[in-house]
Amino acid sequence: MGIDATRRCEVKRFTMSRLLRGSSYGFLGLPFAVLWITIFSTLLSVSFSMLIIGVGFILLSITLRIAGVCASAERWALAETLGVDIPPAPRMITEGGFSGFITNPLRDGSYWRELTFLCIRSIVGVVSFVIVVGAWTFPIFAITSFSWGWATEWDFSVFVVLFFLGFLSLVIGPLLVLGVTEVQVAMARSLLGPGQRELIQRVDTAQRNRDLSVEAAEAERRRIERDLHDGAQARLATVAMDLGRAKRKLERNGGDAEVSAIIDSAHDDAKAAIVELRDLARGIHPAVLNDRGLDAALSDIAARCLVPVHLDVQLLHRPAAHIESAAYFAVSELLTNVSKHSKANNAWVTVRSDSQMLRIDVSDDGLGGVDPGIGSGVSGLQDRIQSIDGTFSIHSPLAGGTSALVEIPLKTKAI
Amino acid sequence: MRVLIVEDSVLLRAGIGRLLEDEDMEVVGEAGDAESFLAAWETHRPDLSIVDVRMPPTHTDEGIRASVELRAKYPEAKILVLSQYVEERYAKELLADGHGGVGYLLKERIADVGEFVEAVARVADGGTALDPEVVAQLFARRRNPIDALTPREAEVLGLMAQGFTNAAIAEQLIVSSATVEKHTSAIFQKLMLEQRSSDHRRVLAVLQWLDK
Repeated sequence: MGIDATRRCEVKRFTMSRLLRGSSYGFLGLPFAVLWITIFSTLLSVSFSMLIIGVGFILLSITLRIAGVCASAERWALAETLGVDIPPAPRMITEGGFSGFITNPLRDGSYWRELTFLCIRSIVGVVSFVIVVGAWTFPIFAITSFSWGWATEWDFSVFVVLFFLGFLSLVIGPLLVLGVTEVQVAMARSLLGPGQRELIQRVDTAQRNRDLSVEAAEAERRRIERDLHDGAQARLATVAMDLGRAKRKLERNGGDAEVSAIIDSAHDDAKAAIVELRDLARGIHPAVLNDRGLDAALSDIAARCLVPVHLDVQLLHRPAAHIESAAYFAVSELLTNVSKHSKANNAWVTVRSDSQMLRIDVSDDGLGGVDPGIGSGVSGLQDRIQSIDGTFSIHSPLAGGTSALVEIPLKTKAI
Repeated sequence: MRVLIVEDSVLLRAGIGRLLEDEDMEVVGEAGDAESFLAAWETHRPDLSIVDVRMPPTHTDEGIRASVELRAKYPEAKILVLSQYVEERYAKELLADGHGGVGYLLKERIADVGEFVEAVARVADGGTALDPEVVAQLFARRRNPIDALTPREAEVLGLMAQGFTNAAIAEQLIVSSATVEKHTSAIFQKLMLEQRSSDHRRVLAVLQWLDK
C-alpha cells in the first residue's frame, strides 16, 4: 500500500514529462477523432438506416467489432504516450457459430462501451488537440507580439493585453492540457476497461476457480495417501514380514552368521523405511482426519510434540474437509515451531468454532521473538490460510511467549 | 490355534498367512471386507481374528467398527486389529466394552515375528496387546502426574498399558518378578489405583487412568 501511495503522488505532481506526455496524447486526439468520425458516422448511419430490413443488425454487429479493434488502438495510444495501462474488458458473451458471431457484439456491453468511447473521443479528441496546440503556440505568439507587431495595424493596447495574456497562458495552458488529459483517461478507464459487472463476475469466477483448486488439491493429497497405503506401504510391510520370518528360521535352524547379519540389517532397514513412509503419508494427508475429525487428529500431533500440549477443541459443527485439513496443518506447523525453537515448557492449543468462524489459538511460554518473515514454514502457512480466505497473525514479543491466531471463515460449506 | 485373517490387500493376507503357518497356526478363513468378516467369523468361530483397519468400501475405519460390532454380539470374540498407523481414539473404541482379548498394533510389528506371535498368543488368551505408540499417545495427554513416577516406574507403566504381565515385564527389563511387583505397587499407590486381579483388568485400570 505504501508503494501505491508514493506512485499516486508522483503522478499527481506537475512535471515537464507529464506535460509532454499529455501533450502528445492530446495531439493524437485530432487524427484519432478524424478517423473515428469518418469510420463510425458512415457505418452507424448505414447500419441504422438498414435496421428495418434486418441487414442493419449484421452491419451494426460488424461496426461494433470494428469499434473493438479501434478501441485497442486507443488503449495502445494511452499506454505508449501516458503509460496508462487499461486492461481490455473481457467479452462476457461468447457463443459460437454464425449467429453467435453476429449477436455476441450486440448483446455484449463491452462493445457498446467501446463504441461510446470512440464517439465521445471524436469530439473530446478535437478539443484536446486544440488545447494542446494552443497551449504550446499561444504563449510564443502572444509574448513575442511586440517583435512582429509593427507589421500589423493593431492598436498598442492590444499588444499589451496579448503580452500579459501570454504570460498568463504559460500557467493556464499546461493546466488545461493536464486537465483534458485527466478527463480522457478517466473516460477511457470507465469505458475501455472492464465494467463493474464484469469485475464482479471476474472476482466470482476467480474465487470459484480457487475454491475448486483448493478442493482438487485436497482430493489429490487424499488419493496419494491412499495409493501409498495400498501400494508401497503394503508391499514394504510384506517384505519386512518375510525378512522377519527368514530371521526367525535362521535363529531356529542355526544358520550362517554372515547371512544372519545381512538379513538382520535388511530387516532393520525395511522397518525404518516403513516408519519413514508412514510419516510421509501422514504429512500428505492424515487419514484419521477423515475418519474421526479435527479433535482426534490434533490429539495425535499434540502427543508427538516435544513440548507438553494442553489441547482444547470445541467445535459447533464438523467443518468442510479442506478447512479441517488447513486447520490441521496450521496446528501441525505451529507446534513444529514450538518444538524446534521455543524452548517452552508448555504449549496450549485451543480450537473453537461458531457458525461463522473457526478460531485456532496456539501459544507457548517459550522464548518469543518469532519473526513471521523468517522461516518459510510460517509464510507457507500464511499462504495456505489465505488461500481459503482465512487470516493468520502471530504475536511474539522479545520478552517471551508466542501466540498465534488463525481464523478461517466457515462459509456455508459446513455440514 | 485357528485364525481368521481379515485384510483387503491380497499381498498382506498371503504374507500374514505364511507367517502364521510357520508358527503352526491354522488359517481357517480369509475375508477382505467388514461384511464378509462378520459372516466368516460366524461360520468358523476362530480362536482369533486378525483385522485390518482400512477396508472397502470407504477405506477408513471399517475394521474398528466391525470389530466393535462383532464383540457387542459375541463378547468372547478375540480380535487383534492391525493398522498402518495407530490412533489412541481407535484403541479406546476397541477397549470400551471392557472385555479382554483385544489387541491393537501397528502393521509393521508383524515383522518382529517373535514379539508378534507373543502378542497373538496373549490376545487369544484373553489378554491385551496395545502398540507402544498408542501408549505413548496416551502418556502425552497425562504428562504431569506421570512426572511423579521414577523413569523406571514410567517404563513399567508403559509396559503394563501395552498389556504385558509382570513376568513378561520382568523378562523385558531383565529384572526379577519381585522387583517388577515392587514397581507396580508403587505405581498403583502413586496413581491411587486399586490393585486388580486379572491382567486385563489391570490394563483397563491403567488406560482409564491415562484417559482421565
